[in-house]
Amino acid sequence: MSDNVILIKRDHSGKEVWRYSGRMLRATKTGVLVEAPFNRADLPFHGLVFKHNDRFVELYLIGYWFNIYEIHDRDTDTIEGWYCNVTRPPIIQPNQIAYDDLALDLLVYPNGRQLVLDEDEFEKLNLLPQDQERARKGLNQLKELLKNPTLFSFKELLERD
Amino acid sequence: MPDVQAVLKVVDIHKHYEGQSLLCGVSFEVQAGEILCLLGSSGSGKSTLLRIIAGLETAERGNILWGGQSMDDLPVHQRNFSLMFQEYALFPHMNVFSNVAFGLRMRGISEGIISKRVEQALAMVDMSAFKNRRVTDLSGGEQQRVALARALAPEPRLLMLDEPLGALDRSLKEQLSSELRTLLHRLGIPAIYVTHDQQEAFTVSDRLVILHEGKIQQQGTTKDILSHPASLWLAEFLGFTNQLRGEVKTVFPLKIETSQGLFQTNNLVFNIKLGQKVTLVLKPEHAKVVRQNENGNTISGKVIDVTFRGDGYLTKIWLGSGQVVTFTSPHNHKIGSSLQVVFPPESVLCYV
Repeated sequence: MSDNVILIKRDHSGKEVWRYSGRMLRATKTGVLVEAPFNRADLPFHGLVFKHNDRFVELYLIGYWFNIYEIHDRDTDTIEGWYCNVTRPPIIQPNQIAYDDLALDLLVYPNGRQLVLDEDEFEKLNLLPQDQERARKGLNQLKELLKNPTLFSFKELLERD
Repeated sequence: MPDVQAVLKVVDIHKHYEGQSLLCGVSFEVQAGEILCLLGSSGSGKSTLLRIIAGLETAERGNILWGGQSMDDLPVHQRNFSLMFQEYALFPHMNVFSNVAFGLRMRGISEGIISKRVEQALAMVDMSAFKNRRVTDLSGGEQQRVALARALAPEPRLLMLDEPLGALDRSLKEQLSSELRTLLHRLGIPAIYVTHDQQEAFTVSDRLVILHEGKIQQQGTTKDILSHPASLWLAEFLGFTNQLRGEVKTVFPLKIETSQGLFQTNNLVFNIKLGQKVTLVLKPEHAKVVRQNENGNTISGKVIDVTFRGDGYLTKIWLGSGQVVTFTSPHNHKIGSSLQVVFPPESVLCYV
C-alpha cells in the first residue's frame, strides 16, 4: 500500500489524453488531495509561468464537476495561482484518479482576478444539454469558491460532513 | 461452448493500439457463481480485456452481453461490475469503514444506505470487528478482505479481480489465493480473476482462459488444460520443457521416430501425415525408471542433477544429444549414473 497515484486526464468522450504520477496527501469522505510535480517544460500561461517541477496540489471532490490545482512555485513554494478544470465527477481509486475534461477552465490569479478559458472549445463539444448545465454549474461553483483566494482552503472542502 | 447458465458472454472482441493488435477475436463465457481465471503473461491483453468488460475501454469489434443483453452502450457505473485492483489499493489515510464506503459515496448513495451496505460487506468477509481500524494496521490478508468488501459493497453482479495478490511473496500468495477461492464460492457472485501466475490461477479458478498476444490459446478446467495443452507454445508456457523432435512413422497408432527411438502417443492429432516433422512433449508425471528399453517410449542418459522437491526427486537426465529431460523420481539417483526412463503413451503429446 503506497501513497502513489496515477492521474489520468481524458477528453469529453473518455479517451485518455494525458497520464502522470502523483502522491496522495489526504483522502476524506468528500474527496482527495494529491500532489504532483508539473512534468512539462516551462509554460508561459496568460501572464503566469508554470515551471517544470512546480508543485501542483490538486483537489478532487466526489460528485463535483471540477477539480482545482493550486500551483506552488518550485523554489519558494509560494502560491502562483489556481488552475481549475471543469470535468465530469472524478473516478477516484486509491491508486488512480481519472476524469473527463470538458475543456472549460478557470484561471485564478493570487490577487483574485478570474479568467474563464476555452469557452468556445466547450461549446464545440456538443455535450448533452444536462451535461452542459452541470458543467456551467461547476464553473459557477469554482468562481464562488475562489472569489476571495485568501479565504480559500482545501482543508475546509475536504472536511465537510 | 454455449451454456444456458452463462451470465456474461464476451463475443469476438477486437482491439488495436498504435497499429498493434491487442485483442483478436476473444470469446468466452462466465457462468453463474463461477470463478473464471484469465491467465497470461505481461502484454497478453488480459488487463485490456478486463477494462473492456468493465466499460473503461471500448472494443473496436465484438460485444459484451449480460444475461443476453448488450452492455456496449452502458457506461461503467451502470454495469454494476466491481473491480478489485492489484495490491488491494486501499486509502492508507482512512479507516476500514471509510475505505469500503468511498466507492458508494462516489455513486451518490445516501449515508444511511452506505452505512448498511458497508456493515453487510464487512460481515461477508468476516471483518466487522475491524471497521474502525486504520488499514495500515492490518495484515496482508486482512487488507485483502477489506479490498474485497469494498468491491462487494455496491452489490455487484460480477466481480473482477485484476492481479489482486500482485506483488505478495509466494507463501502469502498461496495462502490467500486459497482463502479467496473459498470466500468467492461462499458469496456465489461470478468472478473474473486476472493473473500472470499459473499456480495462483490453478488454485483459484473453476475454469481458465489462457491468453497470449491477444488470442485465446485454450479454455477449460485446470485438469483439461494440464492434460492436453492445445499448442506447443502452451505446453512450454505451462512448464512442459521435455521435448523431442521426430518424424511420423505410423498414423494409427501414432508413432514417431526420434533420436531416442520410437515413441507412441495416445494424443489425437488431426490431418497428420506419414513423414511429417513433429515435436513431442514428454510429460513427467507418469515417467518411471526401467532396467531396459521397453519397446520404445524410452529415453536413455546420464543423471546430471537431482533436487528434492517434497513429492520426490526432480531428476535431470543428459541425453547426449545436447538435450536434457526432467522427471520426478521416488528415488535419489546418483549423479553420473545411467538411467532409462519410460514415458507411457498417455504422457506423450504430439504437436505439428
